[in-house]
Amino acid sequence: MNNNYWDTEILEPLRRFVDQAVTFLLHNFLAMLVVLLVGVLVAYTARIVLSLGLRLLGFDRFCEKHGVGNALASAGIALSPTGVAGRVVFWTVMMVFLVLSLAALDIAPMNDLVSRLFVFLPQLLAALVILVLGYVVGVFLQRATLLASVNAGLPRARVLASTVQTLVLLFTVAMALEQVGIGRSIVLATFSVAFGSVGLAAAFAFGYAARDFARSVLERHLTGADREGLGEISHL
Amino acid sequence: MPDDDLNSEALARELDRARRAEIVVGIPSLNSARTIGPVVEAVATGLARHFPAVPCVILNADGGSRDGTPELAQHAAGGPNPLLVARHETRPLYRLAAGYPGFPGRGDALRIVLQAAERLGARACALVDGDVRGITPDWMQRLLDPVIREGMDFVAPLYARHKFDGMITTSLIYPLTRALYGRRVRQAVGGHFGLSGPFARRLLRSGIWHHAGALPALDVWMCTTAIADGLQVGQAHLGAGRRGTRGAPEALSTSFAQAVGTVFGLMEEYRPAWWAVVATADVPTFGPPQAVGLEPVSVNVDRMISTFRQGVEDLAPVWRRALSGETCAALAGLEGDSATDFRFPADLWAQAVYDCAIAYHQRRIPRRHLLRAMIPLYLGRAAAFVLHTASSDAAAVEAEIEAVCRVFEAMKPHLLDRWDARRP
Repeated sequence: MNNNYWDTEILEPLRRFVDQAVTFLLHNFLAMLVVLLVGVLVAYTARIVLSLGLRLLGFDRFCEKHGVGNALASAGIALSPTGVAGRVVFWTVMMVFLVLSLAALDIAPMNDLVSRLFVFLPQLLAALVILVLGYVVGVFLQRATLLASVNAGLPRARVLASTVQTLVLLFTVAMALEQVGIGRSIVLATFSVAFGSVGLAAAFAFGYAARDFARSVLERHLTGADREGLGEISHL
Repeated sequence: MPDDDLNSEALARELDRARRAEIVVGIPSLNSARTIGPVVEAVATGLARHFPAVPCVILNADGGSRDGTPELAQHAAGGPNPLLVARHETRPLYRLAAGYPGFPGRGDALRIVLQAAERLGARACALVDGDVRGITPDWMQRLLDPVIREGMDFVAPLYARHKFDGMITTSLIYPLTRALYGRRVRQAVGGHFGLSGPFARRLLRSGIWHHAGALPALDVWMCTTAIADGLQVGQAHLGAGRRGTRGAPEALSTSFAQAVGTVFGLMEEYRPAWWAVVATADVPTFGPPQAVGLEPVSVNVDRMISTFRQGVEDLAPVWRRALSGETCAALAGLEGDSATDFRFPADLWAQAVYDCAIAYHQRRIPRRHLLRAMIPLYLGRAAAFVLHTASSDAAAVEAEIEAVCRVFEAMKPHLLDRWDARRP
């Protein structure tokens, strides 16, 4: 009885588990690794083919001409437009194969997760695009604000420029979160309150503390006299 | 912009009636009721006095005035030469844009005048703004005689200005274009000019009319094109006349960006024309010279220096992308000087300008940003110039400008060595 009990209750389940583990390792896990490996190959191939094609088509020159190169440089991205496109394609393909490799494991909860990921993937990509665009626009506006402020002789130009960039980035993050459906109502409420408060505070501060400054700026601009406050000379 | 702007039936009829003209004088205008009369009178008198036997046409290219400018122009016209009116619409954004001197939509007006000159087979053409101050009938002789009798293709104006006026021209555009192209045209940003019929046709065939963006600074563009094409370029003394500023000084950032951006942009287009130039030469100058203004004027030097210093402090990350490390370090070293003994050496200025031209060419930062990042640099240099020449007479001011030009010429290798270098 003792031998039977040992065989049926202990060894048999253990044997079944080892069989399943070996089967899993030999089939599912190996399949996952193969899918991942194929993914890496496909991603690299796609990146190389795309880079070659874009170089042949003169994509970098085209982007340079239309200001895309400038936008990338503004955002502190040192890669060429072709390099950026190649990396985007590489990681997009890799992401798809990563999800497929999880499906190859054939685990019930994982399958559910994979199907959800496939539904979620377009939203995630859209959110990523929003974040990247927001970053580029934020850096561009930061520099434009900085230049305009310095040339206008405004104090704390860097603080003003950083504030503009931060607001753009916050707005972008909110849009990205909205896109992936995280805390929609909270994000909306937070930003409505935050932007409203900032606007109101700025209006009060300007109205009370900078009335004279506002008047002199408006007078200079409306009358056209000594617009820059540099004197009577004409620069051109 | 349409290919042919002379699409008004009435104007076409008038041009057909005129059939042929040796000289076409264009007068762009926009709400210039207060000044258009004297301008038209001066032009009409000048043509009648200096070119009595030559068929001429005066063309008022009006950008949609609402104060009766074209009617006043027609009323003021007299003498043997007809005045035609070409109306064109100035886009609302252009109307609002303050900045570069001259009229909003001036490019459209220029094109209309060039087209009319081509259709009438004109040998010479001149352009004067409808709100110019100080115009005299002799301007017609000064701008057109060199074209008709001396074979010039482009005649730039040479105004007698105050020593502190036009410092973008005297400290940047003149030294730079002179060092680049080897021709000493003092005021490429002049506003009023004369040009030959063949050159007018050459300009009409240019691609700039088909660009979607804003037109370049037209006077700089025309002058540089004439020099780069190897045409005959001269300059004419016009006295104290000033181009119209519509009652308000031009906005520094806009006018600086447009004028300097045009020079930098043309450097790319005309690289073969300037690359190998090592010597400079005077261009023929017509008319009697007039003295530079020396009377005291209000210049806010402290504000200029403070903007420069703020630039050193706040724009360092932007300048580091555009300028060489050596230039940035030298600029930072200027910061500590007090307002009274502030100095901005000419060689450092020339180096900074060349660095910016290279950065523009290599698109190290957005071009619009680059041009605006140059303004504190320019104000620093302008302040140093004002302080240095505060008590100088006309000859000393001229000597100072000449010295700056020679520094630009001597430092041209700095530009050549780095122009094609890879982006850092």
